[in-house]
Amino acid sequence: MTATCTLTDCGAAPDVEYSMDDYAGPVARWCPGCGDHSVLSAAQRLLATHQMAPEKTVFVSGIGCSSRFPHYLRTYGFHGIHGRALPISTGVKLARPDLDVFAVMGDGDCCSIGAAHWIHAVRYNVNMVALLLDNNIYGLTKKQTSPTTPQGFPSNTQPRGSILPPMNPLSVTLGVTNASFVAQTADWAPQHLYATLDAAYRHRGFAFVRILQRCPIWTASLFRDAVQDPAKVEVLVHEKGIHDATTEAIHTNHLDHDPSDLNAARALAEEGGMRLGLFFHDPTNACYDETRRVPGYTPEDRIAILKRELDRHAV
Amino acid sequence: MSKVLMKGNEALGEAAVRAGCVHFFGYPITPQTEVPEYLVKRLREVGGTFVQAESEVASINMVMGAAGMGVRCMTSSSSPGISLMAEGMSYIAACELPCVVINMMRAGPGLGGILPAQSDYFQATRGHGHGDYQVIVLAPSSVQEAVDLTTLAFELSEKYRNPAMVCADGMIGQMMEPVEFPEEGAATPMPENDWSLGARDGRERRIVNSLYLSPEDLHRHNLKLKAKYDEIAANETRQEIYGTDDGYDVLVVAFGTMARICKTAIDEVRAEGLRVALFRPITLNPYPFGALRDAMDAIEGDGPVLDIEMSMGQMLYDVKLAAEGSRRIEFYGTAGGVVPSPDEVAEKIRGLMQGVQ
Repeated sequence: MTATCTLTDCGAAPDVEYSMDDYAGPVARWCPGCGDHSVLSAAQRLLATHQMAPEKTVFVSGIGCSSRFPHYLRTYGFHGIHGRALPISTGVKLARPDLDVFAVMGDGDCCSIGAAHWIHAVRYNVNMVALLLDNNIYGLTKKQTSPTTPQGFPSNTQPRGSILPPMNPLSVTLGVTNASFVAQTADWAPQHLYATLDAAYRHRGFAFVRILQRCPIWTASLFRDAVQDPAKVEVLVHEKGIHDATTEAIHTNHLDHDPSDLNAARALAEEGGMRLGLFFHDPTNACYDETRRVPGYTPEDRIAILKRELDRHAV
Repeated sequence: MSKVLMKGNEALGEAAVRAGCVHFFGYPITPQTEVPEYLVKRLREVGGTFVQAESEVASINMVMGAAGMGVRCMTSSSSPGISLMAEGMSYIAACELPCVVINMMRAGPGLGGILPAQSDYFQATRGHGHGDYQVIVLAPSSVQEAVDLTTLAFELSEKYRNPAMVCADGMIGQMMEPVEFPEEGAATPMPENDWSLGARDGRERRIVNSLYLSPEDLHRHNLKLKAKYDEIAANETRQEIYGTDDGYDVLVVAFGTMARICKTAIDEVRAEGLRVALFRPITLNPYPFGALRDAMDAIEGDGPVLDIEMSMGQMLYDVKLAAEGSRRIEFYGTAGGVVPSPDEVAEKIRGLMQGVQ
């Protein structure tokens, strides 16, 4: 753009204004009806709402259907390793604290192969958003049991039904000391999904969002009741929680829950069920990226420090 | 700058800081733990990041994340920890990201022991993880060389956008020696580039990726990597030849700590009039095949090559490849953390020479 100075315009380029389209990458090739499309739309809306510069935003993924996520956005992307989205994101954020970082994982990614990283990411409390797209199955590899598959649900690896009771990702996260933001939402409640992503993004610290996500091919039956009957879903409501009028109007089962109450959050999570909302929020926890950050030194400072150090070793 | 007396692991950490490395991610393991312990303090002073990750798996992935941001970063570990990093190394190489990995080798297999060994030669030079990829591998034989090669490792890893490994052993990590460093602040920051996600202003979308579902695309990617490895092999081999002044009847081949012990042994036997030379590869990958073959061809008569390693014979395969059957190759090796003394090596050489003369 050529800068032309007039009486009313200094000629400088106006601030860029991003629309949702500016964040759209190639056409998403998830199956029709896949809940991931809904998460992608919510993420684009979030990016536009906060006018996040695409080159200041990184979406990191692991492996699985969810790992296609960064490919379908026009932000920076990091298609990493199965289960390792969280340590990669930690590296990204510590190297560049000024970037907005989103880790997108599936239930195999986060709860199985990456479970150790998950626990420690909660401990580190690095300022980022972690999305668990939980469809209760390994979808990309075509129907194998995942840690969150309900007990008795058949798959190609456990054809007589999942042997173990499912892992509860909310309970696990809430059980880790230093958890600071734990929420649950669903792909078929787009307003609530967006409101949750927004709250997660605004949270300073590690925001863990479990998204109940339909897989129309392998686990459609698991979510059908909740999708078809709003009464099957319970919405957590509280002045400190996530508030979305549309969701609260559709789903009339409300449960008052103070998200600053960790014990209540743990009890609620343990009960299971289709509960949407903010389970726990503590914005006061220390963030690793902030506690590990140190003030910059001038070259003179560095030389002085260096001399002091080397004096100790002089021969 | 004057020399300072420092432990190998700490000197290596200092060398990394001097090379402009500002991010370290690692996990404690003997005998390299002084690397992170030194860097936790030093990186704080230079405004960098130190993280003790929850595992080596996490360390290498944090390195991958930071490397994708176009910043100088590293990790260090010892043999069993490097095994855990295998997966990450493959991905970092596939994504063509630069980083430095230090391996202070200890004795294996399994948990093995904590004493020095060279039994990760295969692991370092034949790839750690899956797929057709290679890592630049540099093998120092003194603390000073560990410093110099750490500097070089950062240079090469950035030049070729590939992981570079400094492959030393517990002896070098634990030993104290006088050492000289490059000047502080002499390292230039990593230049602006067209591959990292670390842009500070508006730029086109980029994605770090190693997935190529189309076989043609993946084939092209592999050809591109191969061309890069060929270029590295053509330009970056390094070696030292010792004791060739008045010709030689036997050529000893050894690297790292073992080569240093062999030097002392060679001095010993040369004083007795035995004509023995040493060939020491400094780059284990790319391996200096051509230079080694030339050194073998310069052996007078049909004298043998003696490959000596602190392993059960790993570099031996590359020595045989270099010889292409042209010469007799003998091997002497120890394992389990047993480090041969110069006298033991000298005795082996004397025994071999009896056969020659």
